[in-house]
Amino acid sequence: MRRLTLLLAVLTAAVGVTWFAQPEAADLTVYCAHDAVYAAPFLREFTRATGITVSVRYDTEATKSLGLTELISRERDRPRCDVFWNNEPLGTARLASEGLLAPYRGTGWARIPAAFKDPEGRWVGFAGRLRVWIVNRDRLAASQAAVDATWRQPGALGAAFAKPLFGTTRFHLTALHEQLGADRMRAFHADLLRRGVQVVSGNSAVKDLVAQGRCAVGWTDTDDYFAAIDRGAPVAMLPVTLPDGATLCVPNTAAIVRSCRNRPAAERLVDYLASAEGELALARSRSRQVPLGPVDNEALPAEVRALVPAARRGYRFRTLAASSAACLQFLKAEYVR
Amino acid sequence: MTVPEGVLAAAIRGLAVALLLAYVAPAAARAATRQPWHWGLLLLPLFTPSLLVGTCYSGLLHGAAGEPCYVLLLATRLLPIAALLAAWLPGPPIDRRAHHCARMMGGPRGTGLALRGPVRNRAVVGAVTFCLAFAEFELASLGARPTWTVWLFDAQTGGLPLAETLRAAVVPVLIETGVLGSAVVWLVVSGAGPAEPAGDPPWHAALWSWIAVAVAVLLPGATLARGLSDLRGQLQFGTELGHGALLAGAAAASASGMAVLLPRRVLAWLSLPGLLGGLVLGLGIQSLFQLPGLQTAYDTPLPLLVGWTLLLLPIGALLLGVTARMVPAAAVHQCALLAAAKDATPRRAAGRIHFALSGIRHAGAVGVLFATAFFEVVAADLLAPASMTPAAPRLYNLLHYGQSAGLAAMVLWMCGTAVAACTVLTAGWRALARPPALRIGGPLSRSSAAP
Repeated sequence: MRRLTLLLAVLTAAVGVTWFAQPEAADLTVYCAHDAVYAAPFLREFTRATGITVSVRYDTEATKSLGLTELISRERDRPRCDVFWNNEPLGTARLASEGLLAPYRGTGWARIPAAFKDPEGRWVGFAGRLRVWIVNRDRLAASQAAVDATWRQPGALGAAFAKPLFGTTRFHLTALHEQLGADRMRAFHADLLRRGVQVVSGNSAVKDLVAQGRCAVGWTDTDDYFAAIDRGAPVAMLPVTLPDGATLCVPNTAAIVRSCRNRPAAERLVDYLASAEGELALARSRSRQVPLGPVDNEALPAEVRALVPAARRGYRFRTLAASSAACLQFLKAEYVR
Repeated sequence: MTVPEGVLAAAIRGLAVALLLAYVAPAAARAATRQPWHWGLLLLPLFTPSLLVGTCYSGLLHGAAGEPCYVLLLATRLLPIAALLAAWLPGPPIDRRAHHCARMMGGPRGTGLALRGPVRNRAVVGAVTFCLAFAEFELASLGARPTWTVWLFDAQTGGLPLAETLRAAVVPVLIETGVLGSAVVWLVVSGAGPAEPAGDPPWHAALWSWIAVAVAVLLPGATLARGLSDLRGQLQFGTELGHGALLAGAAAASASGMAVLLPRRVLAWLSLPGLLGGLVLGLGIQSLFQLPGLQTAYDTPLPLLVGWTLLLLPIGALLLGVTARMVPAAAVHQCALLAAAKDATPRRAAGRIHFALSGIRHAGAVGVLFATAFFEVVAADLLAPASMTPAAPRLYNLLHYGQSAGLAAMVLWMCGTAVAACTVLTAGWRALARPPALRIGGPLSRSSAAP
């Protein structure tokens, strides 16, 4: 017992010392849903360029449903976050509709097309990913006809998409829900399951299944596709299009939380994120995000430049927050009865 | 999937894992007791993050053989705890020979006799592993397996009031409480007999450890080889490793202290929140620390320390309770006699013997708790302060892209840190080992495990 007491005392003291010995609180607390491996250097560069220090809380793949959007909502009585860098717009739009975000129409907001920002300035989109079909070239021709045929009747070839309660697959189905209407959407979804299209844990699982050849085709995002390409997997991709011909471009979003402690610093970060330099930096990262505002095309990597026209045709939501809520209600009824 | 479907699926799966481990764990423990290096092998799955295992078998878990694959993975990952329990549980009141004699002489038969005889410890091992498999979340989530924990997680999308979350968790927690409570009560009520003589382990005894290590360590670990080239490149991960190790260590020590000090009834009540699992417990504690009065401690390490301590308490209480009951009182008494010698040499020997008799088990139990917290993700993600992120959530953060060499190097650092921390803990425990004080009418007369 004495040893246990000693151990507890030493470790508790060490936790206390570590906690209180931390440098003074950062200028900004940022909640960041973009992958830490890409966001961290980006934010370090921001600190270097501006002198504004940033403390970051990242999202995790394992806690999707408890993500940062939910955390900001749960912390409404004791907010910690100053700037929210989300990797999709649905959650951000929800926080805006709950009155948790502050409007700001800065230089970043001004350069982004209207399809990718909130007209009231409560959030701004930047650097998007496209929803794509990922195809295993060893098992299927990378043509729209072959993909459509397999998606209609996967059989032994196999097809997969991620559980649509989260992330970009939810964005995808929300767009379909708005465009098709509730009844046709319900039928479409039921038909997918009836035909044996597999529902898996996430987009990276779809990418892995297709890269390994366990499935011939699946829905994923461009960043997952490029991750498979970087590992030498025999995959190809085709942009997903909606019935009206629009593509699905999922922007990152930046927003200032209403209770922000350091408004000038927060505005500088949001402008930095949505700037041409910020978009170029994310385009050059391994996730190859597609710029949404005007940038020097020559400065883009060739594979990103090829995606720009498709991103420009990105679907424009009529009522993002309302459509998101309606689709989520449908999805929760399907998956969480 | 509905909650009842999730509960049913988890219960059937838990039963399969429990039956498998109730059969396998005692054999594996016997092999390890005979060759102590075997314990090192047997405990390895404890130091492999579920992220690594789940990602390695993602294709299989999503395929047609997903369910058997998940059961196998659960069994291999729970084998270390099952084997420790099998080795540490006191002998049943009716040992194998007495049981055989009773049957030969036409004495009482049936389940009651079996449950007081050789089956008793297997049933306890089965009950504990049932609960751990029943409440598993991370592998189920990575492999999209249907279970109530995944249902609860999915239900949080778009927000779910805490009261509704707790309501959904009532039935699973009642099941866990019933199974674990019955096992503990039966263990106490049925009493203890002499330790089973350590005969030759069956031919397959060592095989199970090797299978567990191959499935839960070697195959997933093979993907880490590429990380060896980038170990130096990931040195900045040291901050999160340090935070994780400190917080997990403090939580393990705190849970162990409570398990040893608190009266049984209080301990039983305090163990209930831990049965809720990291998700529900984390959400509950997060809400608690938003209340006036506790708000000032919200963005500090305290919520996570409280969360992890409560999460570790049920398994800690069980492991340390079993450890305390199985220390051979006669040997401890002789050790105390040896320590009363005037010479320093026998006194030091007494310290070493006492460590071998009980210290190693206490240190092992604390080590198991440390590893459990160190690799825990959900409560850590919910409760850690923004400026003190532990290693496990940080690692999950990078899962998305499968960061090849970088991620592999980080996993290697994490596993290495866990092993190093447990080694330091055991060495420190040993260095501080002191023989027990000699007390007339002391441990010998109090112990039920005395031969």
